[in-house]
Amino acid sequence: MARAATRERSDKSSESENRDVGPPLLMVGLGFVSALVSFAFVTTDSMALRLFGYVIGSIIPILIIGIARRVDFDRRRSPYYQPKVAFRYGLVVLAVVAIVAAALHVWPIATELSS
Amino acid sequence: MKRFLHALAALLVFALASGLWQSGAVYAQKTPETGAPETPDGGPAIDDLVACMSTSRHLLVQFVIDESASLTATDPDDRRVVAAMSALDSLLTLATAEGAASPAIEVSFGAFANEFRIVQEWTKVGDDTGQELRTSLQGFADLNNGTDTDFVNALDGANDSLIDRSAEVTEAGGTPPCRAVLMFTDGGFDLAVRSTDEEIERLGLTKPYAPGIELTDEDSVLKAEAAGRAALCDPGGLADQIRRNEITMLTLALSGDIPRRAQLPLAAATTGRADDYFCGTPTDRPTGAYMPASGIDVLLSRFNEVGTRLGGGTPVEANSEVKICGKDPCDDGTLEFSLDETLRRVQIFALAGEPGAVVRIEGPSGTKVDIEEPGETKIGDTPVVARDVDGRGLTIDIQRPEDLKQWEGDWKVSLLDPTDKQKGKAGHLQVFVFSDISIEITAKGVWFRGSEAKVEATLGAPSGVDLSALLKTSEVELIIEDPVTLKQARAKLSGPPAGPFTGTYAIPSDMTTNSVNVSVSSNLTTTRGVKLFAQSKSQEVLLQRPRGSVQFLPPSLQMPSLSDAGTTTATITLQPGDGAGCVWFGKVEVPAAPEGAAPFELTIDGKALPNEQSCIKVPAGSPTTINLEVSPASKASGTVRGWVQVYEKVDGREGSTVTDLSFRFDMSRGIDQARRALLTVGLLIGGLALPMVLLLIINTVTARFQNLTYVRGAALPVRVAEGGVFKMDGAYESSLSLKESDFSSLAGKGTDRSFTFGGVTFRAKAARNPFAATVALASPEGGAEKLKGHAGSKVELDPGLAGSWVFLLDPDKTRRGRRGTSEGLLIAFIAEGDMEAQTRKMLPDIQKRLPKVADHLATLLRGTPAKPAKGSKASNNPDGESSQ
Repeated sequence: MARAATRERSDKSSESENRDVGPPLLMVGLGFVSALVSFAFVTTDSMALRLFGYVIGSIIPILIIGIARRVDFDRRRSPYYQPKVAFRYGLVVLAVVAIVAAALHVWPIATELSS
Repeated sequence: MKRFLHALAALLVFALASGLWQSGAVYAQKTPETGAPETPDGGPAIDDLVACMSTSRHLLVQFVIDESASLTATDPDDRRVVAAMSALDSLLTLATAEGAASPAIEVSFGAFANEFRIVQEWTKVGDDTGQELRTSLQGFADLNNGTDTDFVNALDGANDSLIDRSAEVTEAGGTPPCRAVLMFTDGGFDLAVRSTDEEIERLGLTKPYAPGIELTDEDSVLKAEAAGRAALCDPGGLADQIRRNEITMLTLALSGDIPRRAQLPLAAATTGRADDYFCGTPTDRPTGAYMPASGIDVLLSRFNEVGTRLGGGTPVEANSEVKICGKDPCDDGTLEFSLDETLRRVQIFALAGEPGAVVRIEGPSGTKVDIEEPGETKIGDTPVVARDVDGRGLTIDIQRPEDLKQWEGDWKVSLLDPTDKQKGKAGHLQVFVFSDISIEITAKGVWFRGSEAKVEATLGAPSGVDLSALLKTSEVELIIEDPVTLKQARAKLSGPPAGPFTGTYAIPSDMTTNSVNVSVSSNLTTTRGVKLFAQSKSQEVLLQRPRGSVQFLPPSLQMPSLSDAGTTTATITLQPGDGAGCVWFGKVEVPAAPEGAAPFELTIDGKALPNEQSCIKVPAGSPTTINLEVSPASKASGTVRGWVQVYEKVDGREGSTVTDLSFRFDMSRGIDQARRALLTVGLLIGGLALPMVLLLIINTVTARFQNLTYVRGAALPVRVAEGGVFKMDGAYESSLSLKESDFSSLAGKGTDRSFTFGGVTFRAKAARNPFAATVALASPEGGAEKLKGHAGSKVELDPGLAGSWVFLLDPDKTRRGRRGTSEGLLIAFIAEGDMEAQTRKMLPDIQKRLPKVADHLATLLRGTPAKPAKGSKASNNPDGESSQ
């Protein structure tokens, strides 16, 4: 059993030799898309769309930041890992964007629910 | 036998009554299945709204448009949108026709099905916003997927919307804007069974007016509908609230296939009564206009009519349905009307079933013009502007020209189809005339209780117009409204057809109100037979107590609105009478109060209202001012209308008088600041902190090394000297190299959370930073020697292990060795598989960094006294990273 598992890992390892491994930039990009799309709902009058904007603007990007970091650390175990500076800065900028998005959505939602 | 028959009869009566009684009203037994119910003529309600607008010069119109899925069947071509645009166009004309002097008109668009929602916030109608409003209305073409036709929720929402906006307008006091709901629906009150979890989630399980009834089966739905009708029509219910809030309801119902019974609640809520169904507290005048439309074309015509009538247009004929002629005009498709110089504008609304129809207009001189498409043209010198209606009709505006010969006389308008395809088919043709004649109260004197008030009213017309030659008959009426009892009295004014009109009104001596609202209305007939209606602005008149008494100003208190909990204030001036006097207060009555606002606390300068013993002294000769404050019990939404009894007594006079001083203000719930702050914090925590907590939990649960079965480790004694790393084999040393035989599997050395290898304990630990990953902590088995700054006692490395290395300093050998050398154990990890590829980068990294690490630890070690029986020391690369 251990031998079979070892062979499988070796096969995977040889597959990955053919390509470089980097941080999950696509995932971070999706986080940005999610946060930026949420800005389109800042001025909406629909409560449902505001809530949707709040979720995709703050909760999802922050979850993506956490998950992306975990995926990045996993990938760093590969001997073929190529770090990218844009990843670390991208995460910081995404966190800031998510906080701004949260603030922009939270205020009108709170206003609506309090009126 | 007789007793049996009595019992049977009683049983039948009970059965009939229990079957027919619904929501406090008995349905008529012989009503037809479909068709519109009979309602009072809504004309007076529209006239009242027009009169209100002439006083207030500010109109709020809340459009409430059905978005239920039934529209896909009843209005598949979205013509309701065209119809609503027609009404909007009329309002736009009204808002811009007189330039800066035009009344301010604001509209808001709301959609309803199971609930009411605002689609377009309050927007001032004007040339600059016209396109935005049209685009917004156009969006209703896609709004036809709703479930339920819940106009109870819809009217509740519209009521709140109007009151909130009105409260904003009257924030600083002043005349409140006139308010109207323009509602369109294609069905009766109808709720749907929620049969799936998704429907319950989307539509809600209960209704606000039936909180305990879950809409999960037909019986429950019927009960909820009955509760809805009760909430709407019971005395003090929603219909009464809307009327108390002075909102005019204009309801356009596509009634073609709707059961008559189903239309009754909304129709009765609009006008007060529909067939034998009453809704709310009965009123003397209809409170709105219910305009049933048997088909969508009638609806188009009705929408246009509402807007045009609000704009001051008077329909020449009530019925707009005609038959389309062929190439030539025919009697069934032609309307005749007369114009004279008292009229400034005519609007013709023409609509055929299909495109291709032509409107032929024949002027008094016999000049004919065929209008086929939108644009500008002329009939002789008379300018004509045509606008499109749904691609198959036109609204045509004709303005009075300079040359009256081309205006005065008999006109004809016909709806033709030159192709004969629509000949004989139904069409719509309606003519509205706009008059320049106005009527105003020009003299009303001073009004005292028990005296006779003399009033004079005068007709107004453009200069050069000789009304005496144009008017054949005039009927003028003085209307006096008591704002306390809301009762109206009327008195005829007499005079020649062109005026002035005079008359008297005997003011009852027991009339206790401090003010009355006075207006005049006139029904005029021109010598050409044109019937015109004109109504003056309503004027508030101070109704004074007998001469010599203390008088109260202003006549009524129009107080600033309240958009939150608090107090609204008005100043009252006490004008002294024949001598010094005293004023005190009695009962407070607030018959029209929004839910939750009562009871109201009235104070003067923060103190309780004075009674006879603690009365306010009014010195002779100079007026006294006091501030009356009204504080509701809690926040609410609606109009507060009430009055307070004010007593006055002048020194030396016998007895006192009592006066009902009315007050009015709008309340809107506003925003609960504390709740908003709490929600903001809560949502921010929800949006930012909860994902972080979730990440921390994920970190904790997943804090593991990679499966040890797949990792191999090597523990090699090394000496570091002169910047180089040497592998020790007993007393021999050789250059550092990593061979297959140096590595052994970690399987069985521990768990994926903790294991020991080469004298070092490795533990996987979740990072405290939610965004960081798991770290592996390595510390010497048995503890580390205490060095300055705890150096080397604990180091971090990648939990992936493979590619990482750790250096374990041997303190005894290092102390014994010469300065500049250090000895210890190098622990390196690689994954199962090809070793060479993994150590290719690791070896240079070790050779580059290990000497510095070892030298640093050795220096610290030599500066620390040796302790017997202590273990060794561990360190690795200072930043704890792997060599990859």
